[in-house]
Amino acid sequence: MRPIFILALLAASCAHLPVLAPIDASRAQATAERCKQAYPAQPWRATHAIFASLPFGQKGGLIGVTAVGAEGLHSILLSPEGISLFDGVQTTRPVPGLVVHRAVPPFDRSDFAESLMSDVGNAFLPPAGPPVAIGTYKTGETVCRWSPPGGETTDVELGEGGPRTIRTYRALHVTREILLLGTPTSGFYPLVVLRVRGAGGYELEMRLVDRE
Amino acid sequence: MKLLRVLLAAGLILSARPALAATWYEDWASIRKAAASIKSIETAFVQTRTLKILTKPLVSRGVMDFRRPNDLRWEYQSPLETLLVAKGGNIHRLIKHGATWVADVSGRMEAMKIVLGEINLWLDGDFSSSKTFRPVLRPARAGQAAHVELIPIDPSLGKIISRITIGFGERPGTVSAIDIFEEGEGVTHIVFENSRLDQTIPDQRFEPPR
Repeated sequence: MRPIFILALLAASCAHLPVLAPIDASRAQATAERCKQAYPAQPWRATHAIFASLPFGQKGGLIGVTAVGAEGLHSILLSPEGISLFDGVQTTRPVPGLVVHRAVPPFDRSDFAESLMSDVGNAFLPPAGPPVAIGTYKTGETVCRWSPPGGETTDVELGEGGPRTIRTYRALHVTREILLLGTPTSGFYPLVVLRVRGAGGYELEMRLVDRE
Repeated sequence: MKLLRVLLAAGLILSARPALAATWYEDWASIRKAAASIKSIETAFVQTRTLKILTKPLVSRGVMDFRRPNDLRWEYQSPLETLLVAKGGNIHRLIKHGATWVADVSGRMEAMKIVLGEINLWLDGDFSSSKTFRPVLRPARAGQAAHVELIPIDPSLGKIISRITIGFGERPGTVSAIDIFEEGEGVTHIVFENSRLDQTIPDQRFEPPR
């Protein structure tokens, strides 16, 4: 047990967010605007076909319907047969909160709603305010970073054609990696792949079906 | 005389109307008998799901093959490619990933497993054998065609699916549409189209793709 404990301590002591080398201040504003293109302009509604790779090699398919507007984030999961499995709203006003209208087994687990809203929110909702840092990774990619007090840090990484990857960090560890694939239209990417690593990790491939 | 002429004329007119044809879905026995005359069905279907948060309904398309007594292929081709095949009592659920079909073992909602498991019974015209739903035969009323209404026996299933209606096709023994009603306002409407009856369907249509 002792070597594992020491390794864990070493890992914790070495954990830190990737260092960003600052970019030229004259490019910062334009870079921040490009980073925001990772997210569709609100309000919007979209339907995705979701292929889920779950722990223990389990695979499954769902239809995801999402609406984002002034009232918050509304997320519905349907089975391929059209039955609604989950229906919840993360409200932003008048009072921030999570309201679950419907959750049938196995989507009625106590932590499922919060986890789903975090997945959808991280993938499709821009962090609040301007980025706190804009720079480049050691490997050269340009990145915008949001880091609200007490919240997750979000890095939006730019490729040649625009945003390509979103990473979120909590306690200095990557919690989600979101790949933005294909040519976007109005901030909607044809394919969004969300990866959560770790023992209970999973991957969601979200293929855009329709948007309004 | 004038009155008699009028009555005669009326009588002729009435007799000139074709007698109302006896429908094949007047009672359970008639339905089973008509269904038994169908050996196989190959059909496309369009599934429409309306949601309050969408201005346009969500449309899914697929194909269904059925071969008596209980072989079934229920395949969604868009927007998500999923497949259920049942042959000789063996049921396989798959989902397409890229070009490959993989087993769908995600613990799909039990309620839908039940519904898919019941489709064979419906196509067999055997509504009364269900241990899951209580069938009620609803005759045609103004604005509503005759149909079977299936009401969940288990209240816990009723919280997910409040009822299912099955509309009869013009051809005896066939189903034209299925409506799945959820608690609240959700309805999934499935319409069958371009049906081909009594064709020979190869075994592999009811087996998992290799």
